[in-house]
Amino acid sequence: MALIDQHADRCVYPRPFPDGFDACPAFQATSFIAADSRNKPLGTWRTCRHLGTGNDLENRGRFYPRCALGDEQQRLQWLAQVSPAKLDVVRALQDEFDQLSRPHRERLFDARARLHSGPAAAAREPELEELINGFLSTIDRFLEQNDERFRDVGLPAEPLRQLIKEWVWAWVRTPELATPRLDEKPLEVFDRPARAFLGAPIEPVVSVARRLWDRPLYSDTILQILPTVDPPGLALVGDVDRSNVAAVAQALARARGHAGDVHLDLSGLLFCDLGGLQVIVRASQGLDAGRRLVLHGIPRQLGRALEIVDWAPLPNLAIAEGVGE
Amino acid sequence: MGTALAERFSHEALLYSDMDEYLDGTLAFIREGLVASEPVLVVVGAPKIAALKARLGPEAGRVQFKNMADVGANPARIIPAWHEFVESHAGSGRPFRGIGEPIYPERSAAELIECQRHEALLNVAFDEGPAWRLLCPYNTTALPPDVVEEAHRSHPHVAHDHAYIASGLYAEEAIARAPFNTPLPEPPAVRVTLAFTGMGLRPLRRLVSTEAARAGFTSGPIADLVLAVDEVAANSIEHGGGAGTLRIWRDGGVLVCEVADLGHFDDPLADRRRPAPTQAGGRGLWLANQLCDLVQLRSFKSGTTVRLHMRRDRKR
Repeated sequence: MALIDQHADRCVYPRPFPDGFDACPAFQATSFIAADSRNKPLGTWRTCRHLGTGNDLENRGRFYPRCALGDEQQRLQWLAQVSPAKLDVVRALQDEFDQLSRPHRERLFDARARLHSGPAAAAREPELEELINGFLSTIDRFLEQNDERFRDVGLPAEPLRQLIKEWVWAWVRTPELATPRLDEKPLEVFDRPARAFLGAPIEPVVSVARRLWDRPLYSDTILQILPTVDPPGLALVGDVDRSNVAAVAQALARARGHAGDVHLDLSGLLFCDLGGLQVIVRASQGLDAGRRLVLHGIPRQLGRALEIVDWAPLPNLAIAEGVGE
Repeated sequence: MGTALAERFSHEALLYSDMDEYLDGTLAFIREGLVASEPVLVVVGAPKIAALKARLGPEAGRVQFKNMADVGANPARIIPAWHEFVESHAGSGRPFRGIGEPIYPERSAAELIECQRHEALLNVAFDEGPAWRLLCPYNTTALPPDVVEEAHRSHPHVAHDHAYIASGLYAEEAIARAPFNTPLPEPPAVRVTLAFTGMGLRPLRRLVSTEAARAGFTSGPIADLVLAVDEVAANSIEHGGGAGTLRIWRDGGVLVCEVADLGHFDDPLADRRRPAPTQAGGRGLWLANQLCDLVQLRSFKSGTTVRLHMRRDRKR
């Protein structure tokens, strides 16, 4: 039997996720109240916002744990696109919200169970409405207090408020045990990569150069250096720091051997320290006049660091517009 | 006012008790410079810039003004700004002068300590260089007495009631170095502690990022802080005995990351010399000062401590 998993977007991590789980760099903890088949709460469970179920097409009726972000490469690319700092902001907000909302969710859970259990359902609607309004005003306050943080991660408060409101009502009215199907239409007001913070699947990211994933020039637990074609050069995916900067220097030296401009795709960078920046700058200075090292998708913060240490502008170093935060 | 003061770098304190005294003292200093066609740079708070401009009238056009809140929110950025000013005028052969008021009442306790350190370091930074005059106004009504006394220590010349006196308290090198090895106050409740080695700094970066996000920061300052702490920790690995300890705590609306190691260094200006684009390393502390709201650097024979402060209400 073939051991190759045909589902590249399968979540390979142990579930339930243990406390302090950090093996997956894109992990986004969220808690939900689980229930048995009679709607009795079984306690609070932790899961990942990106975790869903995928249909196994080979074996109809079977499911597998599916990551909405895609396979490992896509997860990393999404993370670089939103930036690790923004994911941490979302994680912190989610954490604060989970704690703040837990008592509300527990009360709503009970009320929903009663609503769907007896014949006198109509009489319970006002009670439910009061609970929901209490919950929504707590949410309002939370959104207001954290307005700057929500805007920072691409989830402005007003559309988010609407979305949560609709979602809470949908949840209450769904007699099923499963969470209601999330309509993706309202999510369109948010920037594409930010939608994933709310659990939406992402579009495959078109990287600036085609990366040859199967032929890495270097790979460790935090960095992969990949050759690229169209345009020819290198892609750095992950963290560049003092532990692997020598490998970056070596790869850049080899890339210089080709004719023409050298293209460096930085859109997959999660972090780069000054030593890494210096290696990149030095590589550009080692090029003959007329040849350039072109940086694509440079993270915003890295561009700033370049300026602070007076390394930009330099004659052989070009920063391509577009992509990157 | 003695022109004899300007034989070498002259670091002067102006003690004032109200706005009239402030304007009298600073305007006399500015006008004296303008009469002699000296370049004049004034780095003070916005309200004082407005008041000076109003009083100077058309002459204000001949004075360069910079807002202290922009230049020196982090006091370690002030000496590089004066360096730039000195470098652009040192070759002209003409004298030049400036006014700098880094201390204002809104400064936090930690900022105030670093402002005093900055004032002392000005002597170390410019004593060997070309002759110029720098006047530092001190508000004796608003500032606590010990701050005013410290002004006497850090300024060789003190102007008060229209007269300059040589400060009896000024003690050259010893003063400049003292704040460098004065211990920092013990932190309030430390949230996390992490011992790190050269094995890899990603766990440290993750911890800083997570803590900053939990403290309510947005992604820009988080990424800045992560880079700054990483660079300082890398210094510990390179120069501080190969390892160090990170501690993180909150102090009101400020998040503080402290990196301590067993290294020792002797250069009190290490964090405020603009690195040359070509030099190999030594940019970490410079970068930290540009990215963070405050950097407190202390070195003892027993070890070095760097505290990086990030304010949640920062306007940048």
